[in-house]
Amino acid sequence: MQQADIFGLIKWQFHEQFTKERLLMSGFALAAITGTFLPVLNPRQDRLSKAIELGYGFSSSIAFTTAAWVRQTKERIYASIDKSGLEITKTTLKGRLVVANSVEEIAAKRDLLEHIKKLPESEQYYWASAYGLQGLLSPPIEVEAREEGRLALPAAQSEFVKHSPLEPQIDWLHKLVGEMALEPEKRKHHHLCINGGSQSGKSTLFSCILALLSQAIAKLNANSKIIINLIDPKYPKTRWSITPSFIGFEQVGDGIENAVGELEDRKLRCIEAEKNGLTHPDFDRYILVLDEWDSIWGEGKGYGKSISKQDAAKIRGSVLRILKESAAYNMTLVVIGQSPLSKTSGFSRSDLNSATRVVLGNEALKWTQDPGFPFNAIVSDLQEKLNYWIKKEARCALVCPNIGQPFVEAIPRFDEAKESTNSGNEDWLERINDWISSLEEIPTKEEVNEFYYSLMGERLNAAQLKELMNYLEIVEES
Amino acid sequence: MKTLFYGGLLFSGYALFQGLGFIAKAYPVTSSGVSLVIFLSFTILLIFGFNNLCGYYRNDGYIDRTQTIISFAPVFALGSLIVVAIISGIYAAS
Repeated sequence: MQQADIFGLIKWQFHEQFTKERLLMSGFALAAITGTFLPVLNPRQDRLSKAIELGYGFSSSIAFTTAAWVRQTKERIYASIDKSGLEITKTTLKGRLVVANSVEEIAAKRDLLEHIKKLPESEQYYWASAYGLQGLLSPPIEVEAREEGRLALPAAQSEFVKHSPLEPQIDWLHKLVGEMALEPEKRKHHHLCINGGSQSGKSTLFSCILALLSQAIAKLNANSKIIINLIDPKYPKTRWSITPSFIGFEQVGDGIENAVGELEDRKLRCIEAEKNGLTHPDFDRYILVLDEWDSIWGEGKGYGKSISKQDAAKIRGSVLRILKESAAYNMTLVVIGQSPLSKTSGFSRSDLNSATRVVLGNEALKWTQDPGFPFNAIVSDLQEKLNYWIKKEARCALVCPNIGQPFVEAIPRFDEAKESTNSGNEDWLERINDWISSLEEIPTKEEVNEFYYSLMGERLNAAQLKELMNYLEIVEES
Repeated sequence: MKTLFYGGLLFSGYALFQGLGFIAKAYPVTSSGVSLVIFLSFTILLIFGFNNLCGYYRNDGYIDRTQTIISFAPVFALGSLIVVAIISGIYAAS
């Protein structure tokens, strides 16, 4: 607006000059015509007057011509000033339009926010991020004030308990494992691809999945067996709940061959059964676990002298074959590696179509920032949740099921709980006793359970809690 | 503005030759000098005509350099104007 006014002023100054020039030229033209034609139209004058008139006419004519020449040289400048004025007007109008649109958009967002604020607090954050209103609404992450008269846990513990509730984390894991345990034709999650940096909890998470999977399969069919083919090139660096079947980089090829052999065998048995008019036999669950995939593949170059370039390509081919064909024969492949990016892992997006992907911690964040990330529509939502957990220094996972929407969940530190358990069962009992004696009043069942969780990383069920309360000789007031 | 400039130039030419006609008639002493100026002017005009300085052009070049009538057309017009101006000057002086 200010610029337009300045130009308007300049234009006005020039306009004055235009008028003056026009008046001057009109004067010269009039004088030239009068001076030239007056002696012709009125010849009854003395010679000198006529000569003066003619001279006056001629000089005026010359003056007019000169003025016209000067004006012509200025023509371009005037034209550019006119053009600039027009451009400024256009820009000003566009600017006004943008401002008006933004004002309307902000008003609409505020209206929307008013509606969102009426929703339950737990839903507010989700809808605010869905509509891009994060800046206007703070996420409902405040710790609720504890009821008066009841004992509060220390602030740090209380916050961790609030922000990393164990139930929801176990819930998604239970759901995932529950579906993995189903029969092949009912199963949504056939294979798993777990990625994460060093010490991000990949192996621990898989151990947990394996334990839950064994339980779930046993529940469905008590007679079923699970065959686990664990290939760990860096054993014993990684702690597993079971001993690996193939150890070291030299044995990776053998391990894969074993799995391919099993696949071939199961295929043949199915073909024979079909020939004999029988239904397909029920195969035991075969789980092939391939750890340290990034090192084995080595971006196509293999691993040092142990795995050559050709071997790496052959292994990748076999893995792809298992990914594509094995699900129908009750076989599950679990690939564990560091980077989820196609460039490093050597798997394209379509290769992993039948796999559920679990990416842990910072690697998940890096993956969401990669242009090849497949869920661009909700990337900001996922990033926010990941950032939240990473900031809290909690372990978290981005889970991309092969069917359904991806989600972010915090995962418990199973290994730490294990370490503390291993350090001695007596220790935690002592600590609970210390804690109770430091309190001014007797804790409730829930508080004891919360404290147990803060120590051990898991909660007790009702029966266990009752037993603990009896052991501690705490009688609750009814 | 170009039109005004050429218009002014033509009118100045007209005024000049009218003035010359007037001077030659009103002050006979100057007649020989004026005749010389007029003669020189017509000669220059004739040279312009022969050089086809005012000839017609087309995008692909001249229509025809040898078509003298066409190349001389503006010269005839200018010459007529000069003649009319001289006659007017002589008339004004009488």
